[in-house]
Amino acid sequence: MTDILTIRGLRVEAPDGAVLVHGIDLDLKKGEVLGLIGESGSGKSTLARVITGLLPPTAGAVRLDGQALPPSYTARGRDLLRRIQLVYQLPDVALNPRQTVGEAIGRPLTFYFGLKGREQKQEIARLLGLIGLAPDFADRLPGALSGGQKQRVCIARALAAKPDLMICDEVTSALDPLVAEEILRLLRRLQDELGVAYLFITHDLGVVRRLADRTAVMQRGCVVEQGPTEEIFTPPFHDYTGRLLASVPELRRDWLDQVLAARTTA
Amino acid sequence: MKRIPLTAWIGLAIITLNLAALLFGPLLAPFGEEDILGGPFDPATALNWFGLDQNGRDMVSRLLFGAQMSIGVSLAASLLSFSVGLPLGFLAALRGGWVDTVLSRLVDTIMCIPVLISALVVLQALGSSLPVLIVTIALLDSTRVFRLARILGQGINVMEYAEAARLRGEGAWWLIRKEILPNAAAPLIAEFGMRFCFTFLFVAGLSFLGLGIQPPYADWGGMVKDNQQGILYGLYAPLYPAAAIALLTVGVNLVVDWLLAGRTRPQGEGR
Repeated sequence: MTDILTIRGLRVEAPDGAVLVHGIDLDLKKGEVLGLIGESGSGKSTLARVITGLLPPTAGAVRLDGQALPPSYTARGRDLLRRIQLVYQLPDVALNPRQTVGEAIGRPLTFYFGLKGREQKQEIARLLGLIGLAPDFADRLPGALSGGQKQRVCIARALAAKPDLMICDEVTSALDPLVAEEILRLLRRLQDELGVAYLFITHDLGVVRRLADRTAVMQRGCVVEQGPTEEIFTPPFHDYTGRLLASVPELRRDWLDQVLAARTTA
Repeated sequence: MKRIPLTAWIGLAIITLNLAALLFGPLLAPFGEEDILGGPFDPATALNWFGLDQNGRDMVSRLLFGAQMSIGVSLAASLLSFSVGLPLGFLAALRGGWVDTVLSRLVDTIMCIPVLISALVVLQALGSSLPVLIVTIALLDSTRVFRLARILGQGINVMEYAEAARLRGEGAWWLIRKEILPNAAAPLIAEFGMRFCFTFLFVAGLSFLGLGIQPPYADWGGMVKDNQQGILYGLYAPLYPAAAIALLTVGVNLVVDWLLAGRTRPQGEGR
């Protein structure tokens, strides 16, 4: 299979010269799910912002389907913008509170494909069905939706563009575990049905384990390990991956004591 | 449509009354604007309901004629100041960089001179005709609209839904019209109500200095000034035009409050 996303030697510096990410090489095949894990501040979201073109890199290349991506989204054509879609962490602020669900989902349809009137209505209904919402949700404002429903609408808005790559930046972090579970199952199902490639950014290791074909581990702006998810999560672990795994709470009374003891001896 | 509360009805009634005076004032007036019917400050009679003014002209007629001037000038100036200030403010917020810097510093420069003084200089230099008056007030007022629009735009521009629209490839026009404007509407409507009332008082202030609406045309602010010495003798004459200004101000604000009520409720309530 060919790569949809190729990143080579990526380096991003803040205006003050601080290095945010460096030496990143990543490959994402068509229709594949790549999990990107790491602690807060390890550069996961920075990477997402570089790929979407919100943050031009200092050095390195980002290619979509073999085609070099202009560093800034303003220099990218409409079709290039369409092919990469971003789903945000906080669905509350990712939807315009003054636009109905139908307007939010319908805009990419008009904007990218020129759909109007009845055709657009049908497509909106189809997308709503895809994310498991009734067609009459199209007339609702985001204020009348629950957090999980809003995130579903965000996913539908991204899907409306028929993207090749969907970047999911901590999409379940703001949701309670049960709703997060639903969203993950939805994303899994959509991936099976539509074959969109996901770059799945999260700090929840369980999510990556279940969803990702391959996993990359980031630490301090650097990818320290990447490979098929099973390999990453089977011993022997990379030093940092081992620490990440050990930090997942377990339902044992002496779990924390053991972790802390292991850390002091190490 | 939801039920309209009583206060909004009162506000709407006041505005309707004023609009009627604006459109049909001269037709409704029982006497001419400049007709002298008796001595200065003659008391009210069956013919002259509010009595006569300092020159012996009918108060009711002059209030009706004045509506056209006062409301017309304020409305035109407020609308013009918004149509200049809003797009520029949003554009400055959206583009940032040198566009923002140039526009903002220009506005700062205008704002650091008291409005009254700037207005006096312009009106003195160009002469106080109606178009000059309206444009001067509008441009001076648009600096305040610009500031408000810019800060509202900046706040909304960093929201992720605005970012999503930009990443989609939307242009400035869509962003202003669909993402920023609907979300900035509440404070802007409130500001419009306020601006309208302030413009009213500003026109009155200019008239007081002889640079506003020129005699013999009646305007409410000027009428307060012209009749002010009546206060010393316990006459009601200056209170009628003052009351007309106050009434319209209250009416506008009642309606603005009602318009905003739906937008200031917590999310999801009342749907």
